[in-house]
Amino acid sequence: MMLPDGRDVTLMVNGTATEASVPSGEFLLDTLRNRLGLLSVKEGCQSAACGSCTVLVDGKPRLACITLTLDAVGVPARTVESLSTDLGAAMHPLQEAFARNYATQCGFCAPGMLMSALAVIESNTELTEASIRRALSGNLCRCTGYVQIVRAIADASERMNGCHDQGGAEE
Amino acid sequence: MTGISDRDFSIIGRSVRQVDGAEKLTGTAVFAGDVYLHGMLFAAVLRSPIAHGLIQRIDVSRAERVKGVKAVVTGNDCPFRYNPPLRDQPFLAIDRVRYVGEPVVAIAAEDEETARRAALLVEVDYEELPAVFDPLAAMSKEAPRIHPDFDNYVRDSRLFTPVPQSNILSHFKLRKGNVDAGFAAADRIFEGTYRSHAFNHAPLEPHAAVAQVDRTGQLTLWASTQSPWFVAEDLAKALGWPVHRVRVISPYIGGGFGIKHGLKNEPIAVALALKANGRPVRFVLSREEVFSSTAVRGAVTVSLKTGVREDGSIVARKAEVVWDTGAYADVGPLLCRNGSYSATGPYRIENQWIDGYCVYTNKIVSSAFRGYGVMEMAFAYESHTDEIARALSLDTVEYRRRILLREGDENATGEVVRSIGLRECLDACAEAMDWDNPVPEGRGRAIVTTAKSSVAPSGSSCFMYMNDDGSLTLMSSTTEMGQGSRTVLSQIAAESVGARLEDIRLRASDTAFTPPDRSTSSSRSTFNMGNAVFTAGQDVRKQILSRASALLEVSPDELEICNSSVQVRGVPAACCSFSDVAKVLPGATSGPITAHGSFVPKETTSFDLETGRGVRITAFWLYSSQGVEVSVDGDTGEITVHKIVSVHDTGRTLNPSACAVQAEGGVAIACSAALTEETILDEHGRVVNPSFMDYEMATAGDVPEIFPIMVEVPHAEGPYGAKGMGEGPTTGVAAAIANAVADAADIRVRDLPLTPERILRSMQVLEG
Repeated sequence: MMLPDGRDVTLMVNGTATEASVPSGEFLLDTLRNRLGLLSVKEGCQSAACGSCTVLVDGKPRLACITLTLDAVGVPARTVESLSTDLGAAMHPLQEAFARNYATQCGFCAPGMLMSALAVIESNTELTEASIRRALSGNLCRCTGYVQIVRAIADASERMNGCHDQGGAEE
Repeated sequence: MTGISDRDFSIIGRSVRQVDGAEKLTGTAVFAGDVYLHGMLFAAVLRSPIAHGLIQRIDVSRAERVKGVKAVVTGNDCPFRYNPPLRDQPFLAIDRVRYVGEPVVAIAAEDEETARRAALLVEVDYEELPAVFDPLAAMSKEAPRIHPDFDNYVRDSRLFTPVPQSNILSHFKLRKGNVDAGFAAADRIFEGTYRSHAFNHAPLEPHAAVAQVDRTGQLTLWASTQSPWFVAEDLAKALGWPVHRVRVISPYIGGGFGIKHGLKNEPIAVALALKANGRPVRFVLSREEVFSSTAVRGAVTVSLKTGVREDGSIVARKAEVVWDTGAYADVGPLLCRNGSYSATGPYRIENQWIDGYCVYTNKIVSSAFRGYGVMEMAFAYESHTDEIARALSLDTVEYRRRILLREGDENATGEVVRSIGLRECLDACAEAMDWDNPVPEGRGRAIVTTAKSSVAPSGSSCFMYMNDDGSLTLMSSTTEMGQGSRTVLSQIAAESVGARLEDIRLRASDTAFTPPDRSTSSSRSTFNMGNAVFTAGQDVRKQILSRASALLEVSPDELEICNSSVQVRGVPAACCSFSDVAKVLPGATSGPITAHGSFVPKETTSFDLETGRGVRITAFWLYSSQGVEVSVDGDTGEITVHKIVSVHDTGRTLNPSACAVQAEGGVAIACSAALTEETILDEHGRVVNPSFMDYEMATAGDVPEIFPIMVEVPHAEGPYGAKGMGEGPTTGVAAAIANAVADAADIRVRDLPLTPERILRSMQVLEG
């Protein structure tokens, strides 16, 4: 490897403390995929321009391809794996909203898109179509034209922030 | 399918959820780049820095000595050429490089960094040759020959006609009626030249491949390829192997749009795997490689000349189309044919004369793009149609209504067209655009109509069998790349059997198990694979009824199937489940329920090479109409697209939401390509904008409001009457925007993309 000076660190990823030996120059994208096996984090451009590798670090959307892993030590990081942890169990309301609205096509940008969406919904600011579109400006999608993604986020935000106890309402 | 009402169906025609939505949304869907195997090596490639030259010397000795390097290959190690119908492309350059970015040396190492470092240690000496970048210049006899060995290439001569001793690899001719007599009878002649530009498909997933050759010589390839059988066959032929020695597995694909149809990065992974002593080799392209050295939607120049009578009827059309295919053919000969014959549009024109030329240049290769030439042709013919209508002071929509092909007409290729939903599309679009009322102040608008064929003849097949719990496994080679094939094929399977949708287990795209299918391209899967699935489903249904009849002791005629159970008609208590019939009864004379379906459209024919005509050159057409409303900022040249209406004849809409999102996505990509995107080369043939930073692709804030509408003119052979629709949404958008700009600002722009600079230049021309 290029940088042999591996450091033993504890990463807080998806609510679990994980030990890893990480070279100082390694990016979070490589750590998450190659050391932690979190393959939802997609590499689309390696240059901070497509958003496919978006994860939440300390609640804020970060591009894992340019975030040094050592900068994420000690702060909670989240990938899409944190949204619905049990196989077969119901998906997170945000994922449900994406499914309901046909908001994913090929699925490659979806994990990064979902994390950006989660950040904007959890920011508790009032969401408008324009503000959702602005929040997604760093996440490219080539399949959908963004129409249903924007709709799904508004839909999810309404269910998550607006009306309580209506999780069962479907279609 | 007249006489069958919607209530007869329980699963098709409904917006059921995507069957693979959960996998994609939880990040568990596996893409080719997520395949990691024990002992896997990582690849890097050294590419040509020059556009045209002879390779004088390659010295790989320093690279081979790097610790961790396990295989180094050059073109001399793999003298194979791929890509039907013209096998001109080597796995790695052999003796000559033809574009900047062409792979020259490939290296496999224990990790990616080592492979990249070793690639930098390879020394290559070139003798630079004159390069040609402009396809029109490349057509001249004096131009440098890019493929002097052209005559040695293996080619399927039935499909295209090269021009000897030139860079023109295909000259397509369409001849209909007497075009000279037609022009002589015309009252007015219109002429125009329209240029479409090169842009990148830009799927979010970069091409990924993992190749492994085992001890028996069996090759397994996990690849982000749209068309696993097409790729398996191409590789096998290149290597001189039987096709079964190549197993291609296509997991989920992160967007294709045509650039993942034929071989791209896969041959390099294979070349290395052949030398890797059984170890798997992973080769994933960087974004820069996707942009600068893989493929583009190529540039096309279309010159049209049209003879028109005073009433607007078209008596003659001449078209010359020049396709820039770049350094290698890829789909060029087929694109030149299928695109060029579309150059006259879906209109009644008695006399037609089309010449299409597919030309080599020293540039990145042009490949198939969603719409397969029709968006380039439609930009020309629909710009031209509006020019004619305006010159004759006719309403552009009313004019189209008058000249559109109708049921029973003979089109350009000699086919008598049936099930033609053009008028329905146009009317629905005009209504949604509120065409009868004036456009809001300061805006312009336009409506266009387009037609696109689907590849033929082309076969599809599938297997279906029942599992012990009564669920059904469907095995199909159609790949899922976002277009929703898994969902719609599952719907057809469930409907044709009478099963619940959740009882369909789709196993997709592994040529070792899923039977042959030409490709996932050309909007063909719903129609072709859909028919194969329907056939298998009907067979399974028959077997279920026969077994249930034995179980329930009634004749099969008295049984009905619904929601994965069988009951005696009118006697709900007398029923059995699919799991009951799944069991092989003691003493039974038959084994488990299995079926296959196979489909090739009836009587599709090939073309006559001299006239470009056949009896039936496609199984179905995609008919579309698209409307656009814009405003143009006279100070900045900026075009604002306010809305796009996108209407498509689906034959039967098998899943309304899936069709709507296909329309939205197709419109968005076409709009972005028409306005801002372009693959730009410098004077040396180097792509200067190979990143998402420099390549202007639409983000969430840039996409206009889109109104998808489906109309249904059933197709007699389509599954439940359905046609394909995936490519329709890209076809007319650029033309519609250009025409709406003409309406708004009284300027005619005949070159794409419609950048502010180009708009301003046109306005200044008008001001004198």
